[in-house]
Amino acid sequence: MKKSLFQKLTFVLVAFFLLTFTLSFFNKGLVKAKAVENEITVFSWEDYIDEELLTEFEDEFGIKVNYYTFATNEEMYNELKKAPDKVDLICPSEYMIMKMVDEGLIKKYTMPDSYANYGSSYIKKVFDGIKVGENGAEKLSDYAIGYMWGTMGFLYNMDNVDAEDLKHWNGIWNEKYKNKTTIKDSVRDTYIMVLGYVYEQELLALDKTDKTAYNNALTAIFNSTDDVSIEKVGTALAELKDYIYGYEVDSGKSDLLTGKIDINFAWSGDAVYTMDLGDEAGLNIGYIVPEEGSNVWFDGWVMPNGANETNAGKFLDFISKPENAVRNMEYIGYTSCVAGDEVFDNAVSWYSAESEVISATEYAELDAEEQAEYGLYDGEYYCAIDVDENENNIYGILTNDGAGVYLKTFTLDGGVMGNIGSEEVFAVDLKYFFDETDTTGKYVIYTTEMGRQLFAQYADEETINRCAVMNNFDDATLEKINAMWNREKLITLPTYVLIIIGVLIVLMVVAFILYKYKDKLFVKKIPDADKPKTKNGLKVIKKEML
Amino acid sequence: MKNPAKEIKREAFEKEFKSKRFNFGFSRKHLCIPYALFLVLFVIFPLLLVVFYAFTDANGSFSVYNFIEFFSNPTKLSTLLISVLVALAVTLICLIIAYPTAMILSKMSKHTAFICLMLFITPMWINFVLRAMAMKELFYLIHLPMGSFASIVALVYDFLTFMIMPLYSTLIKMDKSLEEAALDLGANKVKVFTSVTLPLSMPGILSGAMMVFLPVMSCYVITDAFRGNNGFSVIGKLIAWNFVGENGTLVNVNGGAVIALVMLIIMFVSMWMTGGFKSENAGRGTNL
Repeated sequence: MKKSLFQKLTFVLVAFFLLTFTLSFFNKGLVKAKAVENEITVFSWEDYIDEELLTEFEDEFGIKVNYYTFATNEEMYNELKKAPDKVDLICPSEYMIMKMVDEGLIKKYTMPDSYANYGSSYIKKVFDGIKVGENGAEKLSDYAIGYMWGTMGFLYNMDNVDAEDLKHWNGIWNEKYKNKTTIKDSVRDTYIMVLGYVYEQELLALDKTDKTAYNNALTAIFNSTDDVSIEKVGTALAELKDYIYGYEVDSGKSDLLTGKIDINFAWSGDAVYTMDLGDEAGLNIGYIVPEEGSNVWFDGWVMPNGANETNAGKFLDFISKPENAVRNMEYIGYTSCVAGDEVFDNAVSWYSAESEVISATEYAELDAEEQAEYGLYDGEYYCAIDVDENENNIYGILTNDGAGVYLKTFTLDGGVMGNIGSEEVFAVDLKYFFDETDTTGKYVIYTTEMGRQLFAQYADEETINRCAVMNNFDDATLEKINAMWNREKLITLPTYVLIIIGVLIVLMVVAFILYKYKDKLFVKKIPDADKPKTKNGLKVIKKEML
Repeated sequence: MKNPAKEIKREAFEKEFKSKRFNFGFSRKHLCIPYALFLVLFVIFPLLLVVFYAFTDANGSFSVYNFIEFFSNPTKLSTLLISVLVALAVTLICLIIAYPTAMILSKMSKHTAFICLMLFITPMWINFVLRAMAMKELFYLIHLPMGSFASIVALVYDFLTFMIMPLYSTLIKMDKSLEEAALDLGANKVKVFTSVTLPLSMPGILSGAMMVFLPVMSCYVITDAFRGNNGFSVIGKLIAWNFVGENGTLVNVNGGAVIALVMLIIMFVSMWMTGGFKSENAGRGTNL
């Protein structure tokens, strides 16, 4: 007995020693200053970079990249707090960057050259416009450069849904699409969507003549976090519950493709991906940003206080090069914050209505299956944009006959044009993103279909101007919004039911205790006369029996 | 019937073996050091951490605020109670389905029983998220709407095997002659079942129930996939939500630790109520 008590004590002591030991680690940060100079640690989202780029960077600069991933901004924040010195580069969303600046977790750094040259002027303007720090004295652009960005809107099946309905957020508060819509299982994204519904009248009534003033007024409404707004959002969410199919963060894409749902509240990058898959499956899927306005989000690179600025800067310079940005866009499907002609040319090759033209040498490098897509005309090879009913390839060239630009379509038969036709095209001017100062009109993409991949990837300027950056909310506000979200999403039993069940459970446990220990608890209360007098009573009876 | 000569030899050998020359002060009980270390590092230490976080606030100072918050928040309490009720229901349904199945299996020839058991076990080799997704497609095909009912069906499907296995291994080990004796002594089949088979299979029922009841309360992946627009969530969701968060949640490790601690207490109470700590059950060997 003595020994076992001693053992137990040792056990407890060892446990507590370990506890304090480890907790002291938590306070100091797991890893102190990095011992190895030519290494950087990057902390980013899963599947958010073309991994071949990492290897190429390692080969080019001789700096080893340790790439770690996180699933939510909040998870990243917790990890960072535990080990603030461990990481050189992080890629959080804009609101988390604001929070990190306010808490002094990240430091200023000089914009890498390639980003200074090729970073989109639009993104830079937005980052300049976001005020952070004490009294908003500092700019977000001092602390972060953009990586990927996008909008939020409705992804919908064009065959089953009337696009007119989705021009307003209230389109999903609709008996017509009952059980056919999914919304995000993510309080922040759904909150801004419901705000668009709640303040529909106010948002539509805004004066659009001055772009900046309009966007500022809109941003203010999309950042309403007063009690009345939260209450209204709660009520609207409770109503919405009856119309939706469910909440999701990842299954919406496949549910839309398999036809379970027709509308999915989605991030633009997911939208591009889903539309691509839909095209392959023969589905018509479109993306729309409602008239009231929506959310525009940015993920940017930041350096924690302990970061190795030189190496991290090299890395940022490397991935901000337009050619590498294109590769990342191809790999991830989101839109890079880097502009530059390579990025624009890539967008043209993806989305322009016109046939892509290649030279004979490039053609010779293709394999037979790819070559079948091309037709020879005037010494150059044109890529097919469609096939006609006789399985002949159709090619297209943008033509301007004075009255406007249209797409001239034709088939090719031994280098001669046949079956010439025409198709209407829409011009999407992207100079706001690629080069604001451009006057030549070279950043225009002509497309035959609106509201599709191009729109999700690069929305037109008017749409972008009605998208608001959502601020970081303080903890007290977050707590209120979280409580509202939980209340609307989870089932809350009435108080009397809670009390009844609580009392029942306590009674059950008490009854069990009474039953289990009935001998110990009640044995003394039984009158002495009927029972053997002492502990030896049993022995006495036994002797008598013998 | 020991052989005295052998006994002496053995003693001599042991004496020699036990001398410092051979064992370097090593004795058999030192073999449990790795296990003890494992226990301290991965069982005791995390538990202490949970307790530590539950009783502190974000700054690391002592606080019971998170307890007060949890027990005064009707939404969180409702979720806890709903989880307990759902876990009870799922356990009961599993038991009702699994008991007859296990009885039939235990009466089969070994070969047939093996094939049937494999039919239950093979799906377990597939990741349960994948199984849930497949189940979702199936529900869609038969037009079963997502919601509370779908969640319960999916949970029962996922945990049924954990109930069948312990029951089967208890029933197969049970001495059949006891049932025969009861029949010989005039008991009818119902009486045999209620006073012989059922009491003897109690350890199997209890360990099956433990393997279903507690995991169901934290199995939020299933309820997330099947809850639709109006279904329930289990308490595990709240814990995950507090620890990992989603876009724009207030990550509250301390609040999460409080819920984890409450679940731990529920676990201990239910273990104690079902006699999980009794030493006579220690060697029952009915776990998977």
